[in-house]
Amino acid sequence: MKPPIALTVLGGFLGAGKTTALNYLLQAPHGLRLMVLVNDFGAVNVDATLIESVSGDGVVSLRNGCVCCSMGGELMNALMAIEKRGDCLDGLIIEGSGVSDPRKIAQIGALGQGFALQSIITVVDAAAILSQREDRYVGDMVKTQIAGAHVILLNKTDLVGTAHCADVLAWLHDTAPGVPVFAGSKGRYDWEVLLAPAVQTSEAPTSRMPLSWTMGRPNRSDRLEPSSVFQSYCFENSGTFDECRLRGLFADMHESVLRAKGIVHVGPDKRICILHYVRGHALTLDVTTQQYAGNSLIFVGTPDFARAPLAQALERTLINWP
Amino acid sequence: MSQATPDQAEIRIYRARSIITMNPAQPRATHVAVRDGRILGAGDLASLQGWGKATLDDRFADKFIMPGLIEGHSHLLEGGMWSFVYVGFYDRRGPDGRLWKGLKTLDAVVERLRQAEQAMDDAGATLCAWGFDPIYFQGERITTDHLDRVSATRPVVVLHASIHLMNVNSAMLQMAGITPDSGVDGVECDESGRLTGQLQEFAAMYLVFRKIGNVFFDEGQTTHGIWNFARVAQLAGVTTATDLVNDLSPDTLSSLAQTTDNDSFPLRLVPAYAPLRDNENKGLERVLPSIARNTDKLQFGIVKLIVDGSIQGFTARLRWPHYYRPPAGAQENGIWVIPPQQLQGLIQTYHDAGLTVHIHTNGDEATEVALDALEAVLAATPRRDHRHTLQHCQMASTAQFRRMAALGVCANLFANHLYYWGDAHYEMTMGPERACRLNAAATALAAGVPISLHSDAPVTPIAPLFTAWCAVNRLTASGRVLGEENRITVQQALHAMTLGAAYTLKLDDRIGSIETGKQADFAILEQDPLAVDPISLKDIPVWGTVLGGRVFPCPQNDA
Repeated sequence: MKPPIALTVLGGFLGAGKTTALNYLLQAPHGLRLMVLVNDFGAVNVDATLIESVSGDGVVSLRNGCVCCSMGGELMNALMAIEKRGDCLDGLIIEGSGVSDPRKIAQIGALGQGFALQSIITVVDAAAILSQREDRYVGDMVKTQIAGAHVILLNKTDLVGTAHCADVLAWLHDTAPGVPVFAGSKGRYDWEVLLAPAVQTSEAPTSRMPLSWTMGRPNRSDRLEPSSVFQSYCFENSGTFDECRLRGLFADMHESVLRAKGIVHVGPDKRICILHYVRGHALTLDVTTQQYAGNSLIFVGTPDFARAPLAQALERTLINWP
Repeated sequence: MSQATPDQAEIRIYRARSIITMNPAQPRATHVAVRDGRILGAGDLASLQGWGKATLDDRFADKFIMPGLIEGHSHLLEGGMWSFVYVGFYDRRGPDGRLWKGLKTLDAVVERLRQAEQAMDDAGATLCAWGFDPIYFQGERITTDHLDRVSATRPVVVLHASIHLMNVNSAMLQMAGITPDSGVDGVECDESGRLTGQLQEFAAMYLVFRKIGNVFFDEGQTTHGIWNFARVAQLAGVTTATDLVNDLSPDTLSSLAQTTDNDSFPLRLVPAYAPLRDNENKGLERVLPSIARNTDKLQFGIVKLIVDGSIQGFTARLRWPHYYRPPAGAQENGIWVIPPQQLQGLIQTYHDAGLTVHIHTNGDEATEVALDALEAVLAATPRRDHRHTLQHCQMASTAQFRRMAALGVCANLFANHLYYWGDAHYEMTMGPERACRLNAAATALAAGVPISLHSDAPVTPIAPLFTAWCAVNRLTASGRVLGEENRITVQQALHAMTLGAAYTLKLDDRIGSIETGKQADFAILEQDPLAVDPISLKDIPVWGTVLGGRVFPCPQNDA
């Protein structure tokens, strides 16, 4: 029997940034062939060219289809079709509609037949969540989406102040106790976090997903226990890094940075590399043939992780830095 | 076929015991003259003879003619179901005219399945059945014990009438790899931890469908399924029916065009474009070109949006105080299918294109959200005579009906619910007061809301006289009267099933009444629906139909 396809469910209310996070995830240099199924009733903005480039075999996104209809015409047929091509897929990501319960969708992967659930990821709009939770029509669903998550991406933190962010975090911890929260913005998150298994399944999924992201987790006790909060930061730039200075920077990286990865242009010999850093280990730079559209480095750090000094330090490692 | 193709120029005058016209200027007639598939006029014989040489046709001389009945909310899925074994509690007539007796005990269900099993040639094929409803067996449950008696080796799948659940036998459980510790919600086990074979909702049912294919759904899309749908409708006196969720994909369009183009196809079809069904999300790009392909028997152009779930499934969105006695573990309120925040934008798209939008709202909160969205759209871009319609609209309050009237919004009420789930609504979902205003046809009419009534086939059988009976008598399956104040007259109910439905589809200039210029679409009845005791309305035998001047007898009358 064929092994099941790894299933990731992306939930979150309208405008939280699900599609942006998905687009970032799809273009990340993980080399995985991912199928995307979007359950949405408005304009769908998943970048088809990204899906094309990731899958490499003409896999296209499917839209709509409703999990609430048990006969589920189109969704049922779409899932069956995806199963048939399971051999050439590393995973399926279903983006739920803004008002769907991701746990319901995730049930498809509960038995590990056909699909095996890896994780439910809920994206939260840091600026809007405190009013969304009070909405007379959707407040209940907003809370359901958060309570059902294995991982929460707290998005748009760049739009709110520290005090507001702390309020949001406190409420998230109440609503989803023990669920790790990654705070960041613009949908930029560590794709290994998004693609790693968060639940145990009886059968191993087919995909070659990366190692568990929990290896970079801090051991020290945190004032936000029992949940863990991580800062996500994305450095994007079009220059060329000096390899020597870059390695030097990571060798002395501040302890608040737990991990980093991305695609970078490295000089002086101008190679495109996948950068990978986990605190306590040496930086690795592996030459890649992945598509490159500028440097994009994603950092995961503890809550006290300071972005501005890091950004400045990174800029100083560029070859053409003045 | 019972007659040769008529000469196109021929005038045929049908005589009837009486003709109910639904034309307020002439409510009754004895004769109707037909030429070129259309009505030249109705009246007495003398009033029609001036049109020229005519053949007087007496075959309906002892029958009653009324406008062809119109089913404003049904699904082609009904036609597909008849490829499988019917095991429902109530009598239901199949496309070939055969009456499938309702099964009153679980043993009877098993017996019918055994007979079907023995008639199957392919030893490996799955036996699929539909229409089962557990609520009528006083708590006795169907389990693998019953279905294993049907076959120990062949997979057996019994889909419930609600289509949200199924029961399967041990062979099917084994084939699907379902175990008691599967961890999937909706895989039911008994107190001893043994699988009962009941599977509920998408994920659990997917485990079966991924093995046997999406059989029920796919069958409704086939030519065979479309034909069966038309035949079932015709047997109930229906001449026009909607398919209220359609993707209008190129394949579907050509299949529908080809099928309905056949002269012997006995139905006008009105498929609604549902963005929900369209994987490619093409929207107007799908609807507008399809309209160019409209024919007399195939009308595109309406759009269907779905806001919430169902009341009996506790997925409809209810206003405070929400559900009456929800089952343990149920969430506080129902679900949204379309996010409330996106509804206005969706309506606006189709409204601006000049189309009529049909919006599924079961719970009163969903109705409120739909009315808010419609009000905003109409304030931004007023459009006369839009005829946007709330479909089901089962729990609407008096105030909501007043709002609908003010906005020019129509209601297509799910009258069959009164009978099939009325008791459950009274005792479990809504409680007495709100259950008594369920599908409040009299309230709607008093507020000035144009109404029609529907079956939502295959959820309940397509049978407009029964649907009218529900709205007239408001009797539940147990015999309880559910809100006497909301009973409507037979005349009002028949209007809702003819002109009323035609109005919501913007086809009232062509169908829905018997008057000059309209399509010659008739339901031929053995008794006068306005003269029988209203409690017998549902029992009036349907002789057949006339569609565009062509006579379609029910099989038992097809000499």
